[in-house]
Amino acid sequence: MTKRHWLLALLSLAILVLPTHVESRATATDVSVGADLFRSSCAGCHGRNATGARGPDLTRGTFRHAGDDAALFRVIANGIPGSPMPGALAFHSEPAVWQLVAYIRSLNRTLTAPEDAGDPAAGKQLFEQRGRCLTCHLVDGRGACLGPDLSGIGRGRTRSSLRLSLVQPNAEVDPAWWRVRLVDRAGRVYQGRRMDEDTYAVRVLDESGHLRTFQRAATRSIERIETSTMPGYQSELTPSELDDLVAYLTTLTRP
Amino acid sequence: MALLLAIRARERSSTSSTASGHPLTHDRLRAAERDSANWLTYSGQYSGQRFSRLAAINRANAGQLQIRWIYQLRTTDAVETTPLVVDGVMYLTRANDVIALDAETGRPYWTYSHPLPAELALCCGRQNRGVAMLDGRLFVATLDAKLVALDAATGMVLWTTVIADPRDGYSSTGAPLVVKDKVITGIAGGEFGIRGFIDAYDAATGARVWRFDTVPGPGAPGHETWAGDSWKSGGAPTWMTGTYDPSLNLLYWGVGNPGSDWNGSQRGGDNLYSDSVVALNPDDGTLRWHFQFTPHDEHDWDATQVPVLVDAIRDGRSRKLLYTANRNGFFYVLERETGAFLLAREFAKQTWAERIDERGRPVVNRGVAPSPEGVFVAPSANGAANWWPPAYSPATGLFYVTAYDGGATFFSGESPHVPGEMLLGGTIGEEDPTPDGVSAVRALDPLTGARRWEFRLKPKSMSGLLATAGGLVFGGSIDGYVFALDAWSGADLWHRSVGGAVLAAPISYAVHDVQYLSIAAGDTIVTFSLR
Repeated sequence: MTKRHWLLALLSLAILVLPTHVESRATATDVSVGADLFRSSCAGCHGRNATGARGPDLTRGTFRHAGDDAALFRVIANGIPGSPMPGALAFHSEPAVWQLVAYIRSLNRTLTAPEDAGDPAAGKQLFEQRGRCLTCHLVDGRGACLGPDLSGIGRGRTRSSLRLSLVQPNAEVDPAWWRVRLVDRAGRVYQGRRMDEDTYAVRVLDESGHLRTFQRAATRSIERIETSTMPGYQSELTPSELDDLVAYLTTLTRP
Repeated sequence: MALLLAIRARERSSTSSTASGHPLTHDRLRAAERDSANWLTYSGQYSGQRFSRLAAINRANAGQLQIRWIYQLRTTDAVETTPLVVDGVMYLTRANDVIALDAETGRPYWTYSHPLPAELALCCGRQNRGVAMLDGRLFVATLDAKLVALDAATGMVLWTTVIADPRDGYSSTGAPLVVKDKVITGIAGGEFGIRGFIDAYDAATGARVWRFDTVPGPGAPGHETWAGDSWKSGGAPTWMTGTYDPSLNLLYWGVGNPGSDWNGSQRGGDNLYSDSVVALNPDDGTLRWHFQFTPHDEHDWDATQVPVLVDAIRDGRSRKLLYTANRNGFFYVLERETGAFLLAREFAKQTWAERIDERGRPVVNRGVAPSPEGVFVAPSANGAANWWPPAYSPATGLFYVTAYDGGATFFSGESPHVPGEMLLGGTIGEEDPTPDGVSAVRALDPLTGARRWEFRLKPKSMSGLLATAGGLVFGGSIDGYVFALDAWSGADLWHRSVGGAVLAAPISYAVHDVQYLSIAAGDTIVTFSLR
């Protein structure tokens, strides 16, 4: 164990005793090493930017199973029994787990907005009118099915992660919404949402709303598009309008 | 020539994609009989005939049918789904899921999983029998008695409506039926002291448009057929899918048993509309007529089998008829504009009725009511037939049904009604203690009710049937066979072991001009074609 790791181990003991006083001692290096560890071990479920995918969003600063850093350490170290969350101590040292804690703690300092920022009513108006969000999204059955159903988007997503999705739609695209561009043997081009794919075929919801199956053997090329079709709202909306929109999205909590 | 045809067939099937076509409108549903490439409603067409006009698979070549694909549902629940196939996409259900597959390859597009409460009041396991579709929307009724509308392209939820409270014993298992702009659904829970109904919901919004109570409330005609407060827990569920005649604008729906099942002492009277078929105006839910097969039933003989609508020459003139092989052991022919009784004849063993009189009412034998000591009666509680759908072929003019000659010992008992808990009023003993229990696919001549042929099944089987223009009747068995019978003679033309119980009815459809046969077996969907 290196000197730094000893230090971290001691630090961890200190945190166990006095968890609230110690988190600021993590260095930029710890955060950076933690970020690398996160990308190799955690991003598969929690997303590259920790904004959640199969596993929950970790950017919100509060966690269902971890009230403080010590508890966060225990969850990462030991996993959550009965859930797909494994214990990291099976693969990583204790100091490495603390570096993961440091990285996760760093996340909710980068995109934070005050919890009471924005006017949900104004946000709803932006959502439905100028933002034209219902052109693609569904909320309680209203709108369209060209993007994710947002009826429950406010559950388990923080303001910061919602804001990130609005200003950088490509930051984290759920693979369920990846698209494909196919060219068949006759040179005809098809684009659409990638519904499913396997060794022999790709199944697509095409742009006219039809479910289609393409056999790979009958196509010239198949290109996967992992970016979002959503426009970024960084320049479209003012910061306070973004606050309004985010405030509205947090009210959408249908189970 | 044969080679040329084979090459053409290969060219067609090697096109790069399959694609869905124009929207599924009510006009298209009305003309489903002629849309033979698709299976657009639970019964394939509004008439409930389960007849496919496809004839590429026929008596001459049925022996060459091969498995084309298998889809694993990975469930321990019984699979009773009848898939829909709409323009190359198959929509089917697991107990609480809807799945969209490519009908040509059996590979998935999407799955919708409905969240269920931990506690459900279910008599007979977790089942679902299928979806309905209109204009790019799918409708599924769920085990927790909700009606859910999904976007057919993505499986996303468009609306959810509460049909009834599952904590009171209500559940939904049947496929809804779309008529015009409405989604019609029944309800299950007849063993839990519910009060049954048939509902219609606006397909666009999910708002309830009407409800027809199958146990009439105070002041309504038929209420007098329930002693005291027994109507409040009278059962009469509607857990199968009905049929519809656009020319008469009438909806036909079968109604289940009264509650409690085996003790009628607390519910004196005929107990309308239990064990009946009701004819409703689908626009407002008003009752046009009803026909009760088993008044004051004490043997659990639901009349929920799909009513089959046939236009046929009878007594020298063309008539609009309704055929059904009832769970009580009699095959009935009714005139479906008025409900007039025309014929009843035994199609399976029965010991409970001396005869059916000229108005269609049974003359019941003495000593057949369940007792604390037990009484042996045929049919059993499971019936001479049950929900598994029959088929009718306009080509042969025959009605096909999986039937069972057997009985059971019925014991009566006391059980007070507690909402959400079972209300049986007794028990049934071991079914079929006699060695003569025979299960068979039977072909009946609807003119007389006479049996034209039968194909015996062992062990007792409970599969639905499909008739085709290829002169075939398809079905399956509880021990995992799928078979094709000669629709004219009942001869076994083809069978394959698929290894899982067949409960539901087969369907037939076509993609790229290839005819397929598809059926739920065990926890799989198996699809066959001629290779």
